[in-house]
Amino acid sequence: MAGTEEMDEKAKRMRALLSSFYGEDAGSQPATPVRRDTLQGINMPDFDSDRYIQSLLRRTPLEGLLQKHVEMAAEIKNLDSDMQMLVYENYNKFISATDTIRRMKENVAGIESNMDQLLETVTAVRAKSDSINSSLCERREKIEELNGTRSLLRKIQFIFDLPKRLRACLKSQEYAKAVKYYMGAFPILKAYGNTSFAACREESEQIIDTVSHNLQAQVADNSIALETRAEAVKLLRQLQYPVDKMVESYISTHWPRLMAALQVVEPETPGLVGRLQGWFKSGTKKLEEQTEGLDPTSPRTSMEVLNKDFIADFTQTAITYRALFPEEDERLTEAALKLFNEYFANVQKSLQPKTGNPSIMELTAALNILSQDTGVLLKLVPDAGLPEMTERAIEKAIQQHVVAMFSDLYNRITGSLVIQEPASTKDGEEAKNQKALRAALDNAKRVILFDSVELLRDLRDLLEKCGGLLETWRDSYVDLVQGGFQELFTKLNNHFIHISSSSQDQLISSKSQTASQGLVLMLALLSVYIQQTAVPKITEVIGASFVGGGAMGFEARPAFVPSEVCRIFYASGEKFLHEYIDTQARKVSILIRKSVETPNWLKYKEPRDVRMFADLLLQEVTRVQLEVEQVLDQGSNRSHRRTDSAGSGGSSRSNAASMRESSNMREAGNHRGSFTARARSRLLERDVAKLFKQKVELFTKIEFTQASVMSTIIKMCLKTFQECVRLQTFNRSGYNQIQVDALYLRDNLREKVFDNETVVDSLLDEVCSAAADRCIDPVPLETAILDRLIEAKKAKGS
Amino acid sequence: MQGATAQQHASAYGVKYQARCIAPYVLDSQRTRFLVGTQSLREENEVHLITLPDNSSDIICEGLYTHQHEIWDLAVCPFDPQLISTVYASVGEYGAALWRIPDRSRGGYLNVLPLENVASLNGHTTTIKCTLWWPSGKHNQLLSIDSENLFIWDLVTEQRAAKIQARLSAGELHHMAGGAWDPHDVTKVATAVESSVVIWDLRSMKQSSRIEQAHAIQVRDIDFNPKREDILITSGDDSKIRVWDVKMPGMPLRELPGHSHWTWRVRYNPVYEELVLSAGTDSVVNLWHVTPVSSSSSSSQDSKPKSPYGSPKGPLDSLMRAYTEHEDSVYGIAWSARDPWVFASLSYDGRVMVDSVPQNVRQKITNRGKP
Repeated sequence: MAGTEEMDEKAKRMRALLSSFYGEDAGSQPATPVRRDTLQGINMPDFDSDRYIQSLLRRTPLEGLLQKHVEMAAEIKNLDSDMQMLVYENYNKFISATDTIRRMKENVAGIESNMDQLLETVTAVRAKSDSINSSLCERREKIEELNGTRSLLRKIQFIFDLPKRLRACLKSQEYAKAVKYYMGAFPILKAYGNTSFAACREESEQIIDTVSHNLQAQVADNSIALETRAEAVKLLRQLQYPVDKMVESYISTHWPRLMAALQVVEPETPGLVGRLQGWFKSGTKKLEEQTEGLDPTSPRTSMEVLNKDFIADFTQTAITYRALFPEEDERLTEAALKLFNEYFANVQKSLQPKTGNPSIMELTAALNILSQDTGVLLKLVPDAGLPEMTERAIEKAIQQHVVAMFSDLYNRITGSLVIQEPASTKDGEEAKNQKALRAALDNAKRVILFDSVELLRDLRDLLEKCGGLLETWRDSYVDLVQGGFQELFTKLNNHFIHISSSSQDQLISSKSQTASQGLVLMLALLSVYIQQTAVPKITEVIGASFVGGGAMGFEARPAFVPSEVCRIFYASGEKFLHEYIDTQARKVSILIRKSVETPNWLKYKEPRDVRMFADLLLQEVTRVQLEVEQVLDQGSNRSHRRTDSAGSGGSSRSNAASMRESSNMREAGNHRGSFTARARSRLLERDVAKLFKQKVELFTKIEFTQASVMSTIIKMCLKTFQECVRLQTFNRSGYNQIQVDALYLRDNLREKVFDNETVVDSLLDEVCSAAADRCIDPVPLETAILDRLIEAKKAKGS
Repeated sequence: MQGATAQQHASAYGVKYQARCIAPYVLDSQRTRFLVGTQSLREENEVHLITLPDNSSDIICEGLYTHQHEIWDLAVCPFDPQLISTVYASVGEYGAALWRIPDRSRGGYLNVLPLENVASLNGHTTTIKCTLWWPSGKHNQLLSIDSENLFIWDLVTEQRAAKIQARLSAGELHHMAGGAWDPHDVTKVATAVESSVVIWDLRSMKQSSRIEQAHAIQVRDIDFNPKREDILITSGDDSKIRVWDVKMPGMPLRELPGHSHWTWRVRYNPVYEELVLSAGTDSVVNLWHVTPVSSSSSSSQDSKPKSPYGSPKGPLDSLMRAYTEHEDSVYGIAWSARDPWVFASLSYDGRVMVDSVPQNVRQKITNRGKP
């Protein structure tokens, strides 16, 4: 073995040498096929020693061979000695094994006799044991029988002793023991009670009845310690006393009181409210003392009262119940549910008092009390669905609160619209009236914006403060708030329309309702205000604090659509402004109509003065102007000239028409020559301008400016004037009268239409030319007379 | 539609004087013709017979007839196109008369001939407003309305005379401004009485119904729906146009914004009831599309509701086009009696414009007619 190891080592050494000679490649190629002619493969089966020798002889020099020879000789010698050693050792081992086997053989020889002896002994023991057993068997049965008889006798003894024992227990009030004894004997009494133990049974049952009575009394007695009572209940249950009945009786004794406690709060609430209103009821004195220093109508107070009376009582009752009837929870839950229904009905009422809307603080406080209270109740009665009920109550309360706040806001806004009306009607003085309009407008604006924002702030506070309570339906809450605004504005718009149409009706029925007309103007401006200022602001606030929503699902539209509201109010604003202008223009038009239709123009006398209608007209226009001035911006001095003649209609006659007209007027004489030189030159200028340049637009788009409103009204009126004149036939004096009126109006109206004075000029010119057209003898009044009449009028006026 | 290819551009024509009235020349299947009467206080007035040839956009004057006094109203006899009636005034004195248009062959083209007086409707004491011919068919009856009375005339053409058949006095406080004869029920006449519309029963000569506050201040014009009973359209000084059911005088069935100033005239298209033409003192002529209203009374004539668009003032009641070529108040409009797509309008300065319904509107309406 050592030899092979050595050979291995040698081979390894050789390999190492070779690999160092061949460089690192050899190391990396350990699997190179073994060369047959090297010593490397000497251990291989196919090692060809002859070839190895041959190659050795061939390659190695003599010296090397010699050395190899020496080496080999040494190796052979080594191997020989090793082999000798091995043989010797093997032999040695073999000899020692033979010795051991011999010794074993000697030892085993004595065992056999010993074993036989042991078997005999065991057999004898067994025989003896069997004999003892059989002899004892008879006696044992007897003893067992005797033993059974003895225990039976003892039991019978116990039963006969039972009444006595029970009585003793009763005396010492050891009910537990009594029940134990009785229950021990119960099976026997039940089985044999009708025969041998009848007397005994009767007696003990009587005693047990007494015991049960006493126990019941104990249960019902509030003064006894709760443990004792619970123990008594337990005993009664053991006695198979119907505990349900007791539960019922317990509930029926306590529930009416609790109900009463709830109902106590109820009638007092209106009383409390009443106190605020001045008709205090004496019955609430006690309560008043309790709630000293608190606002009696507030929900917090009601909640607190509810808390004091009911919650405490209920807690007590429920704890007792729990202790007494630990196994009857369901019944408690069932009964408690009834109470809670009543309780929440009360809570609902107190959260939403009939009069007034509680402040956020109060509501929050009340809700917190409620959640605390219900927390207490929940611990007592976990299965009565309290969290749901609480949630529902809070949701409902907040919903009602929000709705109430919105309706309150609506009422305030509509109130701000209506209240000022009679006041301003009463005011005879024009200026005061106007101020009232302005004030009312500002007031209404303030109410709309500030109150809305305030409402939002309140609602946001509510959301923050009751965040925990609202968690589950936050989205619905946001929807509620947004929807509230949508509804508010829709309702407002309807209200506006209602007011405006009713004021329209008033106008038809009774002619002058200046205040309500101012109201229509105010509505128009309010609509614009809502559209331009209030809604964006409110949208902003909503966006800041009421994000989310959409509890109704994605396909449903959002609850608050500012663009829609804006659109509605934009349309309404335009409509109201149109209505205002129409109404004002119509009033003036009626004046003009009457003034043109009433006289018999064919028999008209020479004009002596400007007719009264002109003053009335101016007065009316001034009134409108005062109204308009108060609330509208002045507006730009935008010219109504237009370069685009293809624009929409409503233009006064243009160059062609005026040319035709002037040709028409040929034989009527140059009636314009009768005006002052100033007027004439201006007229000429205008005619030339008309010829070459532009039309004056009669009916332009109305804007929310003084200029636009005033000029529209005046244009409408003067157009009416012209149309009315066209329907008449005049004599010369009639025509002259129209001239006088028109000239007077011209001077006075020009300053009212400050965006484009040529409108007045050209329209009044057309009135005059229409009169000339319709005149059988159109000779214009002399300028001097005309001027004198106007001067006289002015002098009279001033 | 014959003539559907015709003018999309307006054709213009001018009369010398101011003018208020234009009427379609009825019973003429050859040409689109209109009669225009001038209103000049101090000159001799004229009646122009104008026509619009199919192949041209130039309006031709076919006849020019003199009429002494200024013409306030002009109506053409529905069965005899040569016969016309006018309401005229002379220095504040009103009169009404029937005239025969002289035969053109006698006078030759463009020779000015006087109208031949057929009969005078004497008997009026106050301002005469209009004359109304028997609405359809040959019947020798016509109405004349002054501000307080309504006269029914029997016309005896042979004797060249008209006899008062009946007279209905509305009372002194009634200021009638115009009227319309119901084509569905010839016993009914509607008159504009200040802000109300009054329907008269010609048999009993009594007021049969009344639409209060049809328009603020003054009702200017009334026209009966040519296709449906009891439906009429009104215009007034509040610039609005309203459609009414006589059976339900409380609320208008439709309301159109009308014009910027008074809406002077409103006319149903004689063939397509959806088309309504209006003219106003704002110098604009408006063409409206009004969704047909099913008349409450005449449910038998059309059992299923014709309008699928239920609500009044629906989106389909809309202004189809505003014609702004006029430069003075437009007092006269008339649909052509021959081509239902053509109409004429007359402004106070004497300009007549003949326009046609835009192509898209025609398509819309003709498509509606098909099921």
